[in-house]
Amino acid sequence: MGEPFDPMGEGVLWIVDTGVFIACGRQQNNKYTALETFAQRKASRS
Amino acid sequence: MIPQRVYDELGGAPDRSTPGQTPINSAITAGWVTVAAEPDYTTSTVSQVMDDVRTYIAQSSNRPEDQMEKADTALAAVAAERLEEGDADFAYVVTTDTDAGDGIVSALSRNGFDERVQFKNGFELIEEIT
Repeated sequence: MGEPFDPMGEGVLWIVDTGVFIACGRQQNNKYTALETFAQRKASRS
Repeated sequence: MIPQRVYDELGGAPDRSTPGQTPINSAITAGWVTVAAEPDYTTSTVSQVMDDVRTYIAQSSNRPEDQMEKADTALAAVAAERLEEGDADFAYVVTTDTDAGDGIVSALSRNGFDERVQFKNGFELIEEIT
């Protein structure tokens, strides 16, 4: 599947489901910190 | 952004858990997650998108509509409202439920948001960024 738009670009909204957070686990989990870093990087570009 | 329904499922609601001690509340406090306002379910586009999501998931997964995750339709409702109001140009819907993700994209595409939404598999996203 191609990328129809810049996923990190301005005007792109990320809407996230329950299971994603559950899969990332607790705050100490490296998946959780990766998600946090990813979201903050996206927010800084919006 | 997460729908109110997702926030509730994650234990953010005061009657479900201890506020301030769940990861989701920490994320909101830190500013990298926001909880969407409840969509206006009386809006024809929002209600139609939600109906279409329910129908798609029922057909693709043989789940009765009354046993469907309410968060699935909430994700679609938030996306529809934000796109329609121009708050966002595009939306990524991140879910670990493939039927839900496909259904949400299908419903939004059928209701005027073609090529303005994409499903991102939550497990794949986590793998890519970890």
